[in-house]
Amino acid sequence: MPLENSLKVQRVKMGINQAELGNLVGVSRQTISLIERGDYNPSITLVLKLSKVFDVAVEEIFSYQEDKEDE
Amino acid sequence: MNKKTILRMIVLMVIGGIIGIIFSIGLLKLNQPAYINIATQTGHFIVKNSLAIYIGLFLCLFLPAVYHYQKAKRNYNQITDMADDKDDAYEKAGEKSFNLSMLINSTYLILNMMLFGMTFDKTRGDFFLIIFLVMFSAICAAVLEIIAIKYIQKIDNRLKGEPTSFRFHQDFLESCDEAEKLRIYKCGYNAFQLSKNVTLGFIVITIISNLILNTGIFPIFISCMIMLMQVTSYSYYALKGNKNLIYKG
Repeated sequence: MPLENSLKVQRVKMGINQAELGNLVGVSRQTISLIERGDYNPSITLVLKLSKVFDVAVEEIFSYQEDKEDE
Repeated sequence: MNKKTILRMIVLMVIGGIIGIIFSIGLLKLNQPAYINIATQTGHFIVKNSLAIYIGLFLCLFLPAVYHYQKAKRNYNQITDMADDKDDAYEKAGEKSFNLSMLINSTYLILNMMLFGMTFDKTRGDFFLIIFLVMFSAICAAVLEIIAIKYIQKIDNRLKGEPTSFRFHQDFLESCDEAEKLRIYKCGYNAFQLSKNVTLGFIVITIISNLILNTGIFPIFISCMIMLMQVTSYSYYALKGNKNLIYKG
């Protein structure tokens, strides 16, 4: 999975659960869970909303890791 | 076209031909008085026992649909929004039961319609009872679906749309989040591809059946119309989508 994230770390740091984070950015709890597990790559809009909620740069939540096949 | 593509096309045509030959031989074997008699007897059996079949469908399909809906509700009610991992497990189990319930409910409705179409006869004594049973089944299936959708909307108030409205699917889809929409689109595309292939199979079967068993042109006409509708509706939405290529979520 080339897109890695520290969403769970950020969320725990903020002291909210998946449902509350979902409400803050307008998605379901299930979608937050999928992103945290790396099973779903969110859209740019959602990434920006998450970065705004945590008040950190996008790069602090999401990082792109080159696949070996891409190199 | 390169050599590989041409070779692949020839292989596919050969495989199609072999399947056609096998199917034709099978139908030729079926075109014997003994088998035709079995089919006729089965038809008579269904017509004669249609009342019992209606009740059987209710017990074997509608009641399990209600059971799975209740099971889904039990799982969804366990979600506390506090324990994320546990909630995931309950949500998955709830979704599985919910989808199963809706699948069984739709199957129940379709089989009822099919049975009604197959056994429709104005001269039979219990004609009005049959009409009542069909309407009762349709109402039961519709009510269960509406109750289930309303329940899902109650536990997730983001989801909009009035289940009895013609705009329901549009409103419901618009209220889903991006991950849910992606899942719906993927399911829709896979279902389209599968149903297209199945319809193609039906066209082949109806053509060969008409050639060997003289089943008539109506089944061929209907299966071709279904495929035509599938392909044109897909193309229509593809063309419509081209005008608005920017994904807005």
